[in-house]
Amino acid sequence: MILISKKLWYGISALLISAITLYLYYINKIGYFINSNYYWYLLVSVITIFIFTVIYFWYLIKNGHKPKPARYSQYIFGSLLFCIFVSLFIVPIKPLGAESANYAKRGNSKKAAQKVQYIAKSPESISSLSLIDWYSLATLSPNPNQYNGQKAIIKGFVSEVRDGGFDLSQYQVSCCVVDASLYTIPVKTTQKIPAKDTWLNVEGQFEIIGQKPNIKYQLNFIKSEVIATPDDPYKSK
Amino acid sequence: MFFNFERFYITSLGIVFGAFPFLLLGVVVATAIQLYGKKEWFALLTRSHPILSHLYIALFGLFIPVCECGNIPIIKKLMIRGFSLSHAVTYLLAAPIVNPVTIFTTYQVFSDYPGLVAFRIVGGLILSIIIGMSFIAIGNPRQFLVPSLKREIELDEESNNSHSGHGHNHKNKIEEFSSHFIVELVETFKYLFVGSIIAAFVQTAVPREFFVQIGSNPLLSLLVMILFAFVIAVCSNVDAFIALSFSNVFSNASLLGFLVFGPMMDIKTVSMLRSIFTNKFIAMLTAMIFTGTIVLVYCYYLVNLIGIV
Repeated sequence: MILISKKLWYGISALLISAITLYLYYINKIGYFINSNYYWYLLVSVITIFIFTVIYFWYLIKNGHKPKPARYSQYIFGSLLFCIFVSLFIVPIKPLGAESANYAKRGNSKKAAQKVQYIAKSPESISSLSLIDWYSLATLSPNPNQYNGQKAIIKGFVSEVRDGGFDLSQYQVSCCVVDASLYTIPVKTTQKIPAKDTWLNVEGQFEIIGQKPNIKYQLNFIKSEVIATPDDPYKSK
Repeated sequence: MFFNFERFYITSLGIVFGAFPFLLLGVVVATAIQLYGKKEWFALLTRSHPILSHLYIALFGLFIPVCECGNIPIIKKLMIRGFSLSHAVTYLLAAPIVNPVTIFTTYQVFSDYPGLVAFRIVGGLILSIIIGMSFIAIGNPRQFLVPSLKREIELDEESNNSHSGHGHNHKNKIEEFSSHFIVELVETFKYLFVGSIIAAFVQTAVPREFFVQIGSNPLLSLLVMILFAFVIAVCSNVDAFIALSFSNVFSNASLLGFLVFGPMMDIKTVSMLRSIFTNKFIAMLTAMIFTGTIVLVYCYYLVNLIGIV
């Protein structure tokens, strides 16, 4: 008995591939998987697939076809795709968070070094720096002590909680989550600390501790505000 | 916690989405080759002097900016259009390394180490040609192809001999293109999907620190970086950024191993290559790439030792 024909299976699979990606765009969560620079490439790709799938189905219906049964492996793959599609409605989709910190590499980006040079030239832009920028200033700037006592408002998620403070972190990705780098800044506070993975805007004073090469840095807490998980959590600013 | 499902879920889909635009480009090129590519055009490339023909084909990647995933459907169609096994392997290994995006990102990240950049690009190119050319003397190269591809090649030859085209001349161009495009896309995507799941599983189960810890020994660090390149399955366009993050832990020689081996072979590629080659051939090719990478890294080490780069 032919449950589904081979040709129909190809069309349904392509449709499921488009549906999974388009749904993630629709719920604004595609940014949890890839760098925001890739949004358009991926969107154009998936729309192309969708258009060709519609054309494929149009001709399939118009011309009819001689049904050939799909192979077992095709059923398995089709079922997997279907499960992924269903899982989008069941599994809570979250960006990389505190649990993934042990698996991620630590930030050490050359782009960050270039940013430091830029910031050094225009210190007035300092109030708008991201967590990754502050990390770069502390670790890569030739004279990080000049930023001591600067007021900073930094967005990130709580990645580690300990006595007297917590770690505020952000991931940065070049292409997709597989190449994520983790950037962290310790926050010193005596206030109640939110749970891990909570996204915050933390206002504090930047402090450099020690001298190069064993330089350390922290943010002395002034106040914080809980915010919703951003649509593009890996974007620097 | 041993296994973090959320990370596994997001990583496996992330790999798929990251590869998607390149895969699509590869499928479009492959479909165009299948429908409009003439055997005579490719014969011009492949019938010149063996070394020159392999060099031309290796440099083909300069004009098609797709990484390893996008190359798989292209190779399949090139083989149907008359590429020999040696030419196909050369293109497979060289294209992800000589593609313009890879060259740009490698140079951008490692501009302080021009020797490393040169060894990756030029060394990788030479290695691809040598490995590819080692298959010239193989008696029956079709023994390494999966039955479905063998059938496709035979059907193509039969249709050429009988001058009856592909037997679907009654179809209009849009119908023909969309039909080939969808079949090719789904067939290739299937393997990308399985490869991504395996790569994400390994990465979720084995913390990155594990690789760093066992890689403190100089010789071991090279093997660890090659193994890491195999399991991480990251796109060749951005792998230089990953290598950079290990630059304070591993030597440049080990990083070179990562940058040369990774684009040529990884978990995802193995899965995708199974749509073209037999398991035996994939194992043999992996062993050759591994050996070639070790030799290339050793050359880099020697050149560094005598202070040329």
